[in-house]
Amino acid sequence: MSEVILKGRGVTKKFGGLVAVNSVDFDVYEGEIFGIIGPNGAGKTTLMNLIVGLLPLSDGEIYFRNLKISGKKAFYIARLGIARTFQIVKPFKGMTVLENVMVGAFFGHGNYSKFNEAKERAEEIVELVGLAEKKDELVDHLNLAQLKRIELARALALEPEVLLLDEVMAGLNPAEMEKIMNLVRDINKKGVTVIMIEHIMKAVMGLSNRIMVMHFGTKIAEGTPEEIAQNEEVIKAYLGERYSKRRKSA
Amino acid sequence: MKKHLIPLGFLVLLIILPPFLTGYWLRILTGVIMFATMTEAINIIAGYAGYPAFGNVVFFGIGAYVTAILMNHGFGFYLTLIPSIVTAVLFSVIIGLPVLRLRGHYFAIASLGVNVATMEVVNNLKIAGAAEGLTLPLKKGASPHAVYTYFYFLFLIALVLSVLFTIWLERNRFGFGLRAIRVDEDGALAMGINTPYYKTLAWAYSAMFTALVGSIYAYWISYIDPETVFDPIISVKMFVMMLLGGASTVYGPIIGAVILELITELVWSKFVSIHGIVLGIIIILTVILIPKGFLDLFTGGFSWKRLVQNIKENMI
Repeated sequence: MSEVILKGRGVTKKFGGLVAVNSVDFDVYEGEIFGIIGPNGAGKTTLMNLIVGLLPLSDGEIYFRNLKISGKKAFYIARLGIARTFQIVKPFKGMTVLENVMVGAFFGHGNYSKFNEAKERAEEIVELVGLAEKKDELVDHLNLAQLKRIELARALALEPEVLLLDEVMAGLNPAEMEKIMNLVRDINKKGVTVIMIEHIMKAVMGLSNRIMVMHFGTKIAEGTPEEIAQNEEVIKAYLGERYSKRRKSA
Repeated sequence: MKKHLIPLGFLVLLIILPPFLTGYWLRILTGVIMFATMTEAINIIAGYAGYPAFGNVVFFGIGAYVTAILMNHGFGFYLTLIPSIVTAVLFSVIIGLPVLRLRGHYFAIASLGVNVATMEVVNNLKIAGAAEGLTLPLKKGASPHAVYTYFYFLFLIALVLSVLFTIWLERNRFGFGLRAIRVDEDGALAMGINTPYYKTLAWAYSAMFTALVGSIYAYWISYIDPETVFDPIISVKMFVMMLLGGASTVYGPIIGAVILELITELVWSKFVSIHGIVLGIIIILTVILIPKGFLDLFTGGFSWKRLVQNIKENMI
């Protein structure tokens, strides 16, 4: 397999007495789609916040290629080429769709510092995510599916090498989901490594090359979608002890 | 470019107007231009970056005092401008680094606190004449009208500079960064924006223009004391003007300054005792009826439907 692009060792986050992420090790390989799943409160989003530097680590280290990024500021990590979307969408209200995406182009890895350069780049990306006809509308008037696309577009405008998606499918109907899944696949084909947190199994199982399962802050399993589907620990975490036992005896 | 044509026309009008005005109206217009410039300045930090800098008048006071002190030591007026701006900018950076970590109301109150504290320091500063204030050398001119015209143009230059800066800001990476910070600071960070640096820079620019106005003001009025140039009411006025005209727009602050200063002259001069009430009512009505300011009414057009919708959305 190709080389490791993102590596975590003993990644830990404590909020007071609560250990939200407990000594998690992970390796993400260049060019893959890496899924992170787990029940609510498993620490997935916290892990993502740790990677992009929005939260400081309590312990452990995170590396981007060979560069240690834990302890670095969030804007620095974003500029290095690690972009994320937010589960609870954070559009820049009062700005148009195009302007929202331009923010990414201005400040990202591509570093388009001129107005017209950033605008051109943003127009390409708005086209890519299928929002071209909405580009001059204020984001305030868009629906959730469109806002999710803006999240994606803004992250793409940063021209990331690693793209972290935090539940981009949540709240979408099956048709919209299908479109986003295709989009993620296309983005990945262009060489962007994707890390996705997702509740919707169909999406994770269908897209991911490998999956990591978290439960109460710890990693309980890692492997291909098929391996994960058969894993006893995972079934226990998701469906409970009793179901797991019944399944064994059956 | 097209949207700058009408303002350009007004600028030409302002340039040819002074000989035709009486001293009284020239002074009123000078006051309007002065407030318009300060409102443009507060718009950078409070409008674009969304940090309600209620203590912004502190830079006005600092600018005024640096000029006053230096002129009392024999410096010419123009030579005092750079020291005045540098002092205010340094002050904004030193204060801004800790204070800009606060958000929303907390920042507003902290910046107000900085203003009041600075006023108290100046009140006890020997070199600044303490509470008695300072007198500046009078500007000599052929006639009173010529002197009025001189200050009128000084303020007009400051206004043009601040407007040019804001136009640049609208189409610049820096401006986009500030607007992102206003809406969502975590989102801005995740977009690669160095938010602490940008906020500090925004306040420094704001301080720069405000101090410039303070310097000109001191020379114009030729007597300053702490109570006048650090008066929090000036900050409040800048804020009301910004909201009234339209925050985070290029020309909103000017429209706000014109409207409020004219109201001041026409109404308050007759009803001095109630001007606090009038100010309060204007703030409430603006926020409820036209939260985006008058500029939005001009460019977006007036409709009763929008007005009713605004009332519904903004009523407590």
